[in-house]
Amino acid sequence: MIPPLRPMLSRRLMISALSTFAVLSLFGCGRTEPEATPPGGATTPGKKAEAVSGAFKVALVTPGSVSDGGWNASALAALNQIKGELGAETQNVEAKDASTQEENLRSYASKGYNIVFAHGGEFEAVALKIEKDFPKTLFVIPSGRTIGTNTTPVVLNLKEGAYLAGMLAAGMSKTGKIASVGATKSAVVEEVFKAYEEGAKAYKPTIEVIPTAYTNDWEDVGKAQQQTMALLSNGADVILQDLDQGAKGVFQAVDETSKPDKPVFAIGTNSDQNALSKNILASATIDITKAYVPIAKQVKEGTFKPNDTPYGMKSGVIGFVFNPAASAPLSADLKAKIDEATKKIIDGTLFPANSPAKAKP
Amino acid sequence: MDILISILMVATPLLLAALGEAIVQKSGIVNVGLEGMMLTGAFAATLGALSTPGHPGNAVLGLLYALLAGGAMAALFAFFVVKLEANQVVVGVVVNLLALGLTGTIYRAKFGQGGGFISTQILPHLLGKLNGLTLFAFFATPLIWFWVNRTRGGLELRSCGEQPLSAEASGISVLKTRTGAILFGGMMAGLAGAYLSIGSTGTFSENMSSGRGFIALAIVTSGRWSAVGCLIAALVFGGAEALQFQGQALGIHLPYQVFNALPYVVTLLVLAFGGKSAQAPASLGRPYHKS
Repeated sequence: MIPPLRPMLSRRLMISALSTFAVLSLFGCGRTEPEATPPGGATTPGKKAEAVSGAFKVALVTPGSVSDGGWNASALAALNQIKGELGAETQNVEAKDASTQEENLRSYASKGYNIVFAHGGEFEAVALKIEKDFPKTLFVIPSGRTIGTNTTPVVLNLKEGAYLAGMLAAGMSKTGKIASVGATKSAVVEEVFKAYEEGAKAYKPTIEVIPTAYTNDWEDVGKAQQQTMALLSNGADVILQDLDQGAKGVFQAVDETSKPDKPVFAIGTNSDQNALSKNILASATIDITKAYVPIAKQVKEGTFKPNDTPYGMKSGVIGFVFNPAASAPLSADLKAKIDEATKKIIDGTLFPANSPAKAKP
Repeated sequence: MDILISILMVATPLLLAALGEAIVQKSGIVNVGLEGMMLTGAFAATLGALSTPGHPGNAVLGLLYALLAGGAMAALFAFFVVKLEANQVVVGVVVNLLALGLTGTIYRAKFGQGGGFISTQILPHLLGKLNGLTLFAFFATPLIWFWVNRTRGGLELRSCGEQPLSAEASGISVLKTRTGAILFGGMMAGLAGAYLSIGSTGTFSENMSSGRGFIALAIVTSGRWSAVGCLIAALVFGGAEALQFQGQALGIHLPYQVFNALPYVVTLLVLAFGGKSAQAPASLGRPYHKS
């Protein structure tokens, strides 16, 4: 016989459950990027690996479901390409909460995997902590910041695409008000939205950019949809999002609100989302394959050295794709100015949100 | 007007799930598996909407699938807690885990590892941006309240939650009544899930209920196990959530975490300081052993 759940007890249970939710929202959960490099950290020399002899083994640990059609799905695609092109033995696993991060990284490293792609900045602290135990394994941290002995960040300048998105948003807005939706605030995420604002003000100094609204959840479609509806009802008419599955909520809200005489638009990020709606003007894309495959190749050949050289538009990792089926055409002036800015970013004469001057060859 | 719609959109799935759970708890059962039943409903609704020929399918058929899927999960739950008299909280947690694994696996098998976004038709808007599920939830509230408090069936239900032995002695089948209540609760949770997928966003993503089932549980307790109380608590939570969306949209300069935490803090306050007059059903959570 199980003791009954007394009223007071169930009330306490509810209170503690709710407190957990409140605390979780306060401190954020899910994908987080690390703090900036501590002084001196960036100059720590990376160790050069030797060419791989024997089986070449590559593992991928993702912070979320590889069925997300975006960030994590692209990592799996890159892994499959490494398997195909370099003949690597590959495996992947999902480490959805922080408690399983270290265990998963250790598990692959101790099995002698040459590379462990730990697909998100939240893995950086763990990788730096355990790297000394596995000198033969390279840990690769996209959106990371710190160069370790055998841990390398992959700095992704999505902000370059976001700058162009800002120009486009400012050019297409009729209300003079644009907005953006994110999940959790971090240095990398903030850079993206800062570049968006810079791009918008560069094209049209009078544009009003509503500070980024955060949902605290990369995946929650409903929250993203309702946050977007609130932004649209306050007069914003172009929305940039930096979300995973949540992006679908932004597009749904835009599609439901857009009317022929009062069009509203969204801009995609992370992958080419243009096919999802004619109200998506363009997408700022990340092609992680173009970063991961060369790294794997260099590790196999023994020429890779951990580094924090950013991958931007020049390397082809970051892209900006217009939607050919978009419901509204761009003016010739806007198109020309975006093309010009693209050229400057690739040439290394325009640095959105202070991207460092160095760029991948 | 936009704020009102926003409140109702947040409140609808919570209210649907909470109305079902209130009935379940009135019968003396705690269904912690609400979250999993919602998730199953959300996924089944998507499958149903996509099952008819012609993309993006038929959303109304999705509702039927959601009802059946929520009911099926509830039947499983009922088998363990009513028939086998297993610990209700443990079985509820298992239902949540099962639903997460099951929907995730089928989703990947059906739509590919790469996933991507699936789009379904959404339920037609009947009133502004509000659809039939919202209207149903609000019309069901007084009906359920009336049934529980003013009819013989409602009295029998309550007696099972308060004094199952006396109920049995007066000729009520406690096991049947509780099973019926659980099935009803599961179907309502299924509809709540359907609202998340085909009722508003027109897509499905893994774990898309993301904690709303637990909020619905809190709403039942805050709402003092009454349908009208649930309505009020759901609107309070919805109001706080809509307020935080608006606050951010207006660009008010506060850390965004303050906005995100607002709905939970408000519900917490309601729970802590709200009316304490009504008591939980006396036999809540206690298995009934028919002797």
